[in-house]
Amino acid sequence: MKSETLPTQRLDKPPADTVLLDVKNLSVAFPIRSGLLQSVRGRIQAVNNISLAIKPQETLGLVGESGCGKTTAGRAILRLIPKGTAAISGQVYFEGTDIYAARPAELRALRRHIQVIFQDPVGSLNPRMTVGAMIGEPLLVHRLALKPEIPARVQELLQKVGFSGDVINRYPHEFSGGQRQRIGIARALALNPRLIVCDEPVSALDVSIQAQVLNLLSDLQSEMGLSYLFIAHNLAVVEHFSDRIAVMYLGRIVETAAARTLTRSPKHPYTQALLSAVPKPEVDRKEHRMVLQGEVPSPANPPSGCPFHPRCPIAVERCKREMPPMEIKGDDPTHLAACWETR
Amino acid sequence: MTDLTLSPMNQPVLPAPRPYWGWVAARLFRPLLVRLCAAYLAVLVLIALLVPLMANGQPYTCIVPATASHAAMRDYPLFRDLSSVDWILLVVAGALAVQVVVMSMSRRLAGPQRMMRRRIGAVVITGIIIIAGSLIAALHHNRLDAVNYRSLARHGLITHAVFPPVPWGYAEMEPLSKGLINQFPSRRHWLGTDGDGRDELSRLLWGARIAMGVGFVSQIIALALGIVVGALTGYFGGIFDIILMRLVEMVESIPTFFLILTFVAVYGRHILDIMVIIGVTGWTGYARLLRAEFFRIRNLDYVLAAQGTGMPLWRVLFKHMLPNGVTPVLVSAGFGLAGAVTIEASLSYLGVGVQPPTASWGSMLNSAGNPATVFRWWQALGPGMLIFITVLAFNLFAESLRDAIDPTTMGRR
Repeated sequence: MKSETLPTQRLDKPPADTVLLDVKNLSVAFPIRSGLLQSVRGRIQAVNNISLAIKPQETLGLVGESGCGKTTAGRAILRLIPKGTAAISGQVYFEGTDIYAARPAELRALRRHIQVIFQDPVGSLNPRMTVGAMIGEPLLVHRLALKPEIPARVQELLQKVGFSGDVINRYPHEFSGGQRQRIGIARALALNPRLIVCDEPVSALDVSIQAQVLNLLSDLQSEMGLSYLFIAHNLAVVEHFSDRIAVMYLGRIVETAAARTLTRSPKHPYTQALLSAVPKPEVDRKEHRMVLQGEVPSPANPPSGCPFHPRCPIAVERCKREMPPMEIKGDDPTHLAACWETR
Repeated sequence: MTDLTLSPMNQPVLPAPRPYWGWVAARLFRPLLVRLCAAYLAVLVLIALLVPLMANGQPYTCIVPATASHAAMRDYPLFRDLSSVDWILLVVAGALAVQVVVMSMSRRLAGPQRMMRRRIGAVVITGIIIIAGSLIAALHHNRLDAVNYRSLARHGLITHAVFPPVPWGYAEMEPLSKGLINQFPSRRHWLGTDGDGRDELSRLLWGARIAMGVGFVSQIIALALGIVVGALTGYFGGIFDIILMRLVEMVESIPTFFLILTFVAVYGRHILDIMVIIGVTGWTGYARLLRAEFFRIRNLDYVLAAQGTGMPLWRVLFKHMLPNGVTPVLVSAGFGLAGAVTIEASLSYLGVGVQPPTASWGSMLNSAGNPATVFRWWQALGPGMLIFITVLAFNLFAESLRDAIDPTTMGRR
């Protein structure tokens, strides 16, 4: 039976210093088509040459404003961008296997270890399937449980995310947003994955429910040894939740560091601006809010040089001409930022 | 941060579990008119399935009295003479009845038990249909029973005969000598007779089988083709879509009616050919609708989630996407059914539809005004009204279904 061989794979878990997910120079460009023959008139560089690494049981926060390509990056890592709709280059290694080089059968097997939680709790659950069917189906497809065992397994997963009582036969529309998000989490947990890509899992929820879901996620992390790629636009959420943070701007990663280092001494002016927008629960504190001027430039027509230079308060002539590389900043050798002007 | 614990009590699970189709059905059947349409169509389908038991010249059963050579024996002329198609349709009717019973039984059960019951019911029914179908196909011998049982019964040559409610076969003619052709409705023939002395009511009932048969068979073929092509083009897009959509445009350029006329001229009349032609030329609309729906659905998160868990393609397509995109196609199929009934009636009216003496509403309508100098309105009324009401009922039903699934009309009715 196939299900007997699979759990043993978890025993030879890689040691903690190895890399679970390694993204190398990932780029995603969507062609802009128009006209009768749908000829390509341009391209939107949604993700531009990003590199990331996630260690086992680590949480990497990926922050940036709307439209900066964080969701696209997440989907590209999962290889969920439909073939032919985008030009994707670079490599995504999961435990040393290149996801983009995997054959369909291998890919399906790989997917068991990488799951996803979506932002929209309404759209992420199939409205025509009961909760039980939705959570039980992956188990069945991957032959991780025999048919008669599935209801018990589903019940167990639902308990894990805080449901008690009989919800197996209910449909998604009968639940509130937070409950749906928990159902989505239960579905992601069903296959006992190692990495979960959380695509803004709490930004559609009320603040009180946000805390609930975040607590659940971090409890599950310690309980099941999960790693997270945590995508969000709210730095305050990511700051508390992540071990490391990567800041994205216009398809590029502009700064990456340990969460504490990044929040204490941000090096990239964009990160500084993001941090100054986080409300601080302190009285009598003079706010030095750094308000960015202008709009996010179009990724179809990005600015020359550093993509941030038109909005940057400290930009110099060089920034307009040359793209700054990711360099070590400050004392921490893992603190990288792409800026000519900061040290 | 641990003060916000996950108590299951803090958010009540809303009551009233009602699956999507339950919700649609509740909205659909609210107006009386829709209920009438549904009842009419259900009766029509039942007639189509069970017509050999309703209108037939042979008795269900009778006793042949003892003679010098043999003892008295019970005979079942009607069942003896049923064709394999009749048997299969009877089994389908039986299976439907079983399904209804199982469903109403399972409604009282809850949870996984209910699912189990349903699944068992479906398996049993499929089994019955397959076994019965193959048995009948293997064992049945078609016989030509030209015995006039009514006259036998009248002369006492058979006794205890039990005839169907309409004791006339669709091809059974009154003897010419009696002058009972083109007869006005009477107690003997409730809706009169046609130019060959055949019972109008019996032919109307048998005509329902042709109309429903053409409608459902052609639309099932069209739906199967349309769903497969629509799903594939909508899911894959790109070059696949470009090529298949050109095929769709080619098929769309074929005029169904004239294709059938040509086909009949070359190969002769076969009702099955007509069904197939209506089906294989009528799927393009469904393909287009489903393609558009799949374009919309394929980037929804739950489809990505299904792909992300490593589901095989067919499962993503037909289990996760199809149920969410098929409703407009089903609505369209309702209009398609009406269209197919009209096409069959028109063809039969022109004399290129069913092979005589098979009864069809269209050919009955034709014979009402044949020869052209006369018009016997009582012969035209039945088939004319049936065609009219059937097409109207299908259209009304489809239109109501469209309204019922449309969330923008929610709360308005």
